[in-house]
Amino acid sequence: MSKNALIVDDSATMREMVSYTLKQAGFEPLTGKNGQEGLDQLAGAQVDLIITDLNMPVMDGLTFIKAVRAKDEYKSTPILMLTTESRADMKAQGKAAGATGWLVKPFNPEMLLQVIAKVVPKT
Amino acid sequence: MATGQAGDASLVAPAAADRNGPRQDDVVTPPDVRDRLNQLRDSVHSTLHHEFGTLAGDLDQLRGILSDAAAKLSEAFCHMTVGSTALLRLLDGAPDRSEANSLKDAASIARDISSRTVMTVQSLQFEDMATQLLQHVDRRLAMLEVFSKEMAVLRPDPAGRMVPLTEEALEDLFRLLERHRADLASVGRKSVQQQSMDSGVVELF
Repeated sequence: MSKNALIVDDSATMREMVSYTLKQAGFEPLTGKNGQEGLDQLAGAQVDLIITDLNMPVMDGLTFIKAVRAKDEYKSTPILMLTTESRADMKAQGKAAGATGWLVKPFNPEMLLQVIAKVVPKT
Repeated sequence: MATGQAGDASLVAPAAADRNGPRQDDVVTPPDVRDRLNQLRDSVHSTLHHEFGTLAGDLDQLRGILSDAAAKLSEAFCHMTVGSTALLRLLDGAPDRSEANSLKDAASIARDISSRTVMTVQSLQFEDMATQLLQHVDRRLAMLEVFSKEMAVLRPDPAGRMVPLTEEALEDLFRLLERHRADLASVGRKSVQQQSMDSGVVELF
């Protein structure tokens, strides 16, 4: 049975590129254009991995991660922040919010898959 | 930093005064107010100079990202096209090759195409960064438009006369200038610092 991954990014190209990459690793991608749409997706499906952007309209990535971590079933789900932002203070905020890792755009698909292999438990 | 030359900010421009001679409604400006007005014009000029320099830098960064993405995508496209053509020829069956050799070559070409796909996926992300940079430039330009409108009072009228300004009005303009500078400084930080489409760093917590 394939695993579900939620990709939250306001850029259609980014959603497309991450989805394409995750499909190579056998994930079934779900997508949202902002944090609120991400939360809506979580309400209807069990997700094994979340990849989210930081700067988004409606609900940003940090608020989204905090909302996800507030849910009992997502306390330990890997959440990767994928963003153009590389400042140390922003990374610290991401870590405090509950992110598992921080990837600076643009991502290398092979590297992303290596990171996912490290953070997603094998079943 | 270049500050430009505001020149003499007397309330009647010299050209107009020479042409028309002194008039009853000419406003005489005390020297200290005139100095402050010159200072204000210098500061406005310096702020605009700095801001347009920053915008030019942002656009140059955008040009670099687009140029790098285009170069990498072109390279990937050429390799993948050549590879696909070679693969098709192999699959069609070359009569002078053994089946084993053909399969080996086909696998090698497929691996090359696959590695170019990685470069393509990475380079196609330029759209996201370009969009963010352009949004940043848009925000800055919108603020500069408001700034230049509010400072339009410093421009002489068509007859070359400066609008009379009281000391109080002048101080208001200085406060306005400071507010705009603070606003521009707060919008100044942009999240996109990348100069090319090379992959970013990864950090696991």
